This record gives sequence, structure tokens and C-alpha cells, in this order.
Amino acid sequence: MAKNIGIFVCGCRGSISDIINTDVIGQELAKLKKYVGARVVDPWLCGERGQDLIRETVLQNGLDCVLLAGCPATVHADLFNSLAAGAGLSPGMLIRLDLREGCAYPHRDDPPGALRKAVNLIRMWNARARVSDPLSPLMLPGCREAAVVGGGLAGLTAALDLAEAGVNVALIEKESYLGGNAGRLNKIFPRLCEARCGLTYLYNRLRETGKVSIMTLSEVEKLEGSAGRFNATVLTKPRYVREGLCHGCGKCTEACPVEVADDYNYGLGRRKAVSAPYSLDPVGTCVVDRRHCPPDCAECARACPTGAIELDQQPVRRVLRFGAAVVATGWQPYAVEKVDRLGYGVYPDVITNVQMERLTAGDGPTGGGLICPGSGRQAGRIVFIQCAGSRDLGHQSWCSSVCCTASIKQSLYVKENNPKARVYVFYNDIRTPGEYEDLYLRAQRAGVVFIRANPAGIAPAPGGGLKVTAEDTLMGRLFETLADLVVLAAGITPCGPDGLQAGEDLEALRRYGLVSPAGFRSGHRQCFPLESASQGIYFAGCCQEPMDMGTTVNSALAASGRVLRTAAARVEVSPLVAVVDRSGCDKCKRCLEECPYGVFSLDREGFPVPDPLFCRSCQICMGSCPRQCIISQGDGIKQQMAMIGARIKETAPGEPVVLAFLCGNDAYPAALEAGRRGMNYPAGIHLIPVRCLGAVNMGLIKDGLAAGIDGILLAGCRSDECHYTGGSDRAGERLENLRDTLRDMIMDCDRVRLIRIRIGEWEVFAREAVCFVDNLKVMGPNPFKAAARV
Amino acid sequence: MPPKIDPAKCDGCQGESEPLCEQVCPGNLMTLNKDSMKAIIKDVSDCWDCMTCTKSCPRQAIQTVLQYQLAYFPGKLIPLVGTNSVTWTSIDCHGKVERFVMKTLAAGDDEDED
Repeated sequence: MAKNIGIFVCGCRGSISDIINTDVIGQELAKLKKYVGARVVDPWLCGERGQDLIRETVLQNGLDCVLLAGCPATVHADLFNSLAAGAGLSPGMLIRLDLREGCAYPHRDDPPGALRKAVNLIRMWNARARVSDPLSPLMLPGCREAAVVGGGLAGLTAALDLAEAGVNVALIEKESYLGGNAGRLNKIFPRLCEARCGLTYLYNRLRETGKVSIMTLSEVEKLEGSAGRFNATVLTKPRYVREGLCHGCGKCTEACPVEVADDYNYGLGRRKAVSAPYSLDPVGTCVVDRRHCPPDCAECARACPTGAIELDQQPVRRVLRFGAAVVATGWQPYAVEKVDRLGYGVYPDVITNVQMERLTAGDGPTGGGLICPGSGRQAGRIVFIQCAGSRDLGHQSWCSSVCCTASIKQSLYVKENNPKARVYVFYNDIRTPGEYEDLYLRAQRAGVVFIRANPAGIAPAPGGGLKVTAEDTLMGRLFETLADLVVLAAGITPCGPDGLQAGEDLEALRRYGLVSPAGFRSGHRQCFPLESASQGIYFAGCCQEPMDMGTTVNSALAASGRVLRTAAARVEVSPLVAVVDRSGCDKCKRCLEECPYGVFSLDREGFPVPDPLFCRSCQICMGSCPRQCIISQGDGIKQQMAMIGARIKETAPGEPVVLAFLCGNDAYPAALEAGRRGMNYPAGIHLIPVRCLGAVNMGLIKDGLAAGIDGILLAGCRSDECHYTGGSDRAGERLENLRDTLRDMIMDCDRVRLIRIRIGEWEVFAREAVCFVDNLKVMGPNPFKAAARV
Repeated sequence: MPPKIDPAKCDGCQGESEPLCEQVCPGNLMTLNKDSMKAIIKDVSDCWDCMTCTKSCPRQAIQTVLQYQLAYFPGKLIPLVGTNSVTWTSIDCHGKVERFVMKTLAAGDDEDED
């Protein structure tokens, strides 16, 4: 509570004083007495003389708060802030009132109205200053535990980055080996180096840190809690082989009677139900896949010379506690058997691009030899078919962004191995962004033939091999070609729902538009692409969108950066975070429902507690609280209540008094720009910036109506453009309920209105404002002006 | 006459076990219908029109219909609860509208007048 406020009004060297008569302002200031310690009207406060004047006045009068009416808060922010700090004011006690863009400029043709509005604004901001307190910094212990779901390239990168910063990481991987899809690639573009080289490097560093507990064969079953205090139930499937006893002799594999398609090789070749450890298996023992075991078979256990196989092991459930998580659940190739005409699954010599990687890999089923899986011949004529199911409205509508470059890379494998091989690439459009164009040129030089073609069908050729029929879309004619091997470029499909998405969380993700119809997970695509609906959970890698390996590493580092923000031993958080005033709270839990980031949890007594580490200070909870007991430091509901209670007067006889709550991110800058560009709107509109439209409590609007304000305008962003996932929609919903009540009360519900504008739509703001005030004039004054005050 | 709950507006306080109206009702008459997940009144004849539920509803889903001794249908009394005031709109059976503003908190911020 400021007890000694200094009010400084700047003439802005004519910008304000030419329109607003500053002498009259001086007289009006003299009427403000309570808690006002100094009143200064100066033509140029940011000049050297003006700065000295502010400093001296603050020091001489011992002011504890300065209200500076002049330019917008973003202008000269550093100058005035350092001036205030130098004069000994506490942080947050310099309050800026925008008298230039908000009052003088838009009312150039109405100086008397502008003058009255200026007086009103000063009264409102003075009332706000009186209930303002200094901001005190918040230092909190960070959370040093994190989880990473997925042990592929993204997961390993994120885990290493976190571990190197000293965070304890639980790495949860579904398979028995790490590396995911990336680990099974042969080479990676653009440098055509070994994929597993980089992953092995990551894995070795990871072990050196000693901070990562790797859980293979594990999946998240259930996730509870909120940011800072998640509890995840992790189900770990047994390996059925005792660690320490198995030394990988392979006798169990020989003894095993069951053969299944080798899923490590994407279905290429066969393997036994008990398999030797794959590369990048952190445990390094054999694994028994009990899904395929015949009942009562224990051949492997009998064959094992060390008795390491224990077929009666049971799955283990563990509860992990962590503060933040990186979800990197990755991708799977599109199920191209759904594209009938391409014959995948019918002809064994039609394979996918991931199978091609295994076929050419040294540890693959053929040891790197390009042997057709069906005919068993050396492949000499290879057709790559791009966009197999991708960019196809019947299948995957999106471009997977990497398949073109991947196929070019694979065509180079073939050409480098056997320059005489004939390689054709049937493409829709070759998309090799950035440096990958070099690889495209390299393939062309190596003799790979690129044909813009739409494949129509694949059939067996009479003399063996396959016959591909396609339409050459450049020449406009049908043609046929023979092939030993057809490679389909299967696109990237995000991995299906897992524990983190199950139940309520998936609902929440969908509700906030954080899962795309395709199943990719990401927040606000442009501004916060890594964020989930739940603060503390960040996405990385291909579960977010199709991306190449460099971008995957980027996104993993970005996600770990988000986790690290709250993972230092001590974290300084914004002082503006939400705080629940327990004396007013009746535990209705509406804040839990409305917080777009799920940062609230309940304490033992049932009171909601926001986690300040993860609160984004959007203040939507403040707007939702029916008891107005969520407060924060700085500008909040207390200050807004005071502003509305400042008893402002009409700017001209009969002119409606309007309060406009504007979203600080777009509507408020748009309104200021309208002023700057001289788009006049009625002087009766008093602008109040808020952090998000969702932060406007309906209690304030009701206060305003009770206090005799004629109209209340809310302006915020469009439905899907809110930075805080749907703040303006929440405001719209609340306002609609209020309008119903007003209708019941026989009041014009159009006295309260929400408009949606973008930051560039200053003309729309000015037009809507004029229209709103014209309507209010037709409606007449607020009936509560004449109401009995009890 | 008991409160009328608009099922379109009531969200059962998001399926809370005890919605706000249930918490505040001095006669413990409100409860949550477990099937519809909306608030209902258990015993209409026990309501004495204190209007606490009407004022407390965060979604303005509750209306009180006045009892006949006070006003015949369609007489209504509608509160609008602000942060530091409640405004009342009374509509009697002839459609006459009266409005009252009540300060609910001590007005701590009275401006010095001229």
C-alpha cells in the first residue's frame, strides 16, 4: 500500500499538452489529497531537467510510489526504471499511465473530452497506485528430478543435456535397447556417417555422468500430479534372463523352437523368440519375448549353461517421482500395406525405406548385401517410390519432410556399392530443403534417374522381378519399368497413445488443441511448440512433427532447456505468479479447472496451491476465481477493483462511460497504434491493459455496472491465437453467462461486449469502439446509475 | 419457492463432489445429481429463499423464483455479485423493475472529493 504517491504528468513537449490543457490537469491534481505527496506537471519529463525534477521530488518528499502519466510503459522503460531505482523506489512502485497514445492522440479532435478522460485516468491510476505494493523477488528451490520418455535420438540427447547440468534423469524406454529408429538406420544424411556412432557417443557420455537411470522394457502406465510433483507409474516387463549370469553365448537362441518376423529389422528376416542383445542394449543380456513362447516350453532355460533364464519373472510396477519430463516417444513408419496399389505385403520384393536401411546395414539380415528378400537375387534395378501414403488425403495428408532426402541417400548407397545398378526415383516433388540440395545433385551426378511419376500399380513381371506401371506426370503418359526391388518411402507417423496420453491427459491435450488430428503432439505451433497442456511436460523429436536428425537434436535440446529453466538449485521466478489467498478461498477448485497449464494442485487441507516454478502468470485463474481470492504481486484484481472504484465521470454530458479491458499482447498494442495513427474513437473509452483476456474477473464487470459504468468492452485475440491456450475463449464463455443474467435483469446485454482483434487490426478496434459507444447512446445511461444505494 | 437451476449453464462445478451451491446452502438442500452431474435441490419445500446459492454460483446458473407472498409469477429477484458490491434487480409481477446497489465490503478506497 503506497502511502505517499507522487503524480507526475508529462506534457511530452507538446504531444500531450497541445491536446490536453495541462493547467487544468494541475488544478485537478490539487483535488487529489489522500496519500498524494507530490503533484508535478512538467512539459518534458524524460529530458535531463525533467529527470532531475523527478529524482529531487522523490527524495525531498520521501515518496514511496511514482505515478508517471505520459508515454506508454514500453517507451523509455530503462530510463525511468533506472531513474526510479536510483531515487530509491522499490521495484514495481513506478507506475506508468499511458496518457499519450491512450488519451491525447486518439482524441485530437476532442480536447475537452481528452481532458476529462485524462483526469479520469489519473484518478483510476492513482487509486491503483494506492493499493500497489513493491514487488519482492521469489527464489525457490528447483526440482532436480526429471524423466525422459523414449530412448531414441531425442530422448538420449535430452537426457544427456539434463544429466550434464546435474539433474537426475530417469530414462524410460519401451524396447530392450536404446537408439530407437535412429539406431537402426544404416547411415545418416547429409554426411553419410554411421548412425550408431553418434548414438554410442551419447550413450557413453550418459553413463559417464552417473545421473541417468535407464529403464528399458518400460512404459508409463499412469501419470498423476502436476508440474513439479508428477508421479508416474512405470511398468517394467521382465527380460526373463538374469543379469550377471548371462554371458551371451547364444545357446538359448539355438535351442529356441520358435521363429518370428524380426521386428528389429522392421519385419525383414526371422529371429527366434529369445534373442541375443541388440546393439545399445544397456543391460546386454539375451531377452526372451514371451509373447511368442509356446505354452510350457522351456527349451532355452534347459539350454542355458549358466542357468540365467528365469521364465517365471514377473513385471514390476514402480512409481517415479519427478518435477518435469521430456516426452520423446518418436515415430513409426506409415503402414504402407494400406496403399493397395503398391503391393506392399503382397510381393516380398516391395519393401519400405526403413527396411532398406536394415538391408544395407552391416548388422542387417543380409550383412549389408543388397539381396532381394523375395527372389534372393542381387538387386540391380531398383525403383524408389516417394510419398507412399504421404501427402495423400486418403492416407497421411502431411509431408514427412525427410523421405526425399532419405531415398536419395539410399540411392547413393546403391550407386556407391554398385555404380552399374539402375536406380529410379518416382517422386511427386523432391523436397530437399537447405543443404540437402547438395545430396540431390550428388545423386543426379551419380546417375540416379528422377522421374516425376505417379505409380499406378505393381505386378510380377513374366521373367521374374516386378513391373511398375506409372504415369509420367510431366510427359502425361503411362509407362512401365522393370525392377528387382521396389522401395516405398513410408512417411513418419507419430507413435500412438501411451501412458502419458491416456485418460484425462489426452482429453486435456485435445481440448487445448495440443494434439493435432494427425496425432502429433505440440503446443502453440509458432510460439511454444514444445509445450504440452501440462506445464513441466515438453515434447521433443518426431512425436512433435516429422523432422530430420539435426532438427530432432535441436528440439531435444530445446526441451531440456525448458526443463533446466526450473532445475537449478535455486530458481528465481517472476514475482507475478499466482498466489491463493486462503482467507477467501472456499476450495471450489475452479482454478484447477481453468488453469491452462495445470499448475495447481491441492494441499492436505484441500486448498489449491499453484506451483510458482511453473506458473506462467497468465492470471487466467485470477479471472476465473468466483471469490476473487487469487492474487499476485504487481497489477492484479485488487488494483483493477480500485481502478473501477475510482468514481470516474463522463467525459462530456450524456457521453457514455466505457471501461475497455484489453489483452496486453494484441488488443492493447492495437489500440495504442490506433491512437498513434490518429484513428479517433470516443473519449469515453478508458483503456485498461490486462495480461490476458482470461484474467478479467466477471466480478470486476459487475462492479463496473454497479458503479454506473455504461458499457464494458473486452478485446482480445481470436479463438486459436491466444498465447495462453484459449484465454479469450474463457472470457467469452464467462461473458456469455453474464449477458444472460443481464437479459434476465432487463438490462441491455450489449452493454458488455467482447471483440476479437489481432495486433494489426487497429482500424477494427477504432471502428468497433465507435460502434459500441453509438449503441450505448441508443441504450441510454446505465440503469444502476439511478439505483437506490443501500 | 426454490431455486431454479439452468442445466445448460450449470456444470456441477466441473463434477466436484460438493459444488459451490452445496457448500454454501445453509439448509444443506443442494446436491449433485450423480447421473447428470448437475446441481439439484433435494427438498424444494425446505428452501427459505435466502438466495445464497444464487449469489454463489460461479456460472450464474441459479435463479430464485420469489414466493407468492412476495410477488406472483413472473416476479424475480436477481443478484449480480461483484467484488465489493451486490446489485439487486427486482422485477415484480407487473414487470416493474427496481434496482439496488449494496456495498458488501467496507469501502476502503473512497476518493477525496473536492
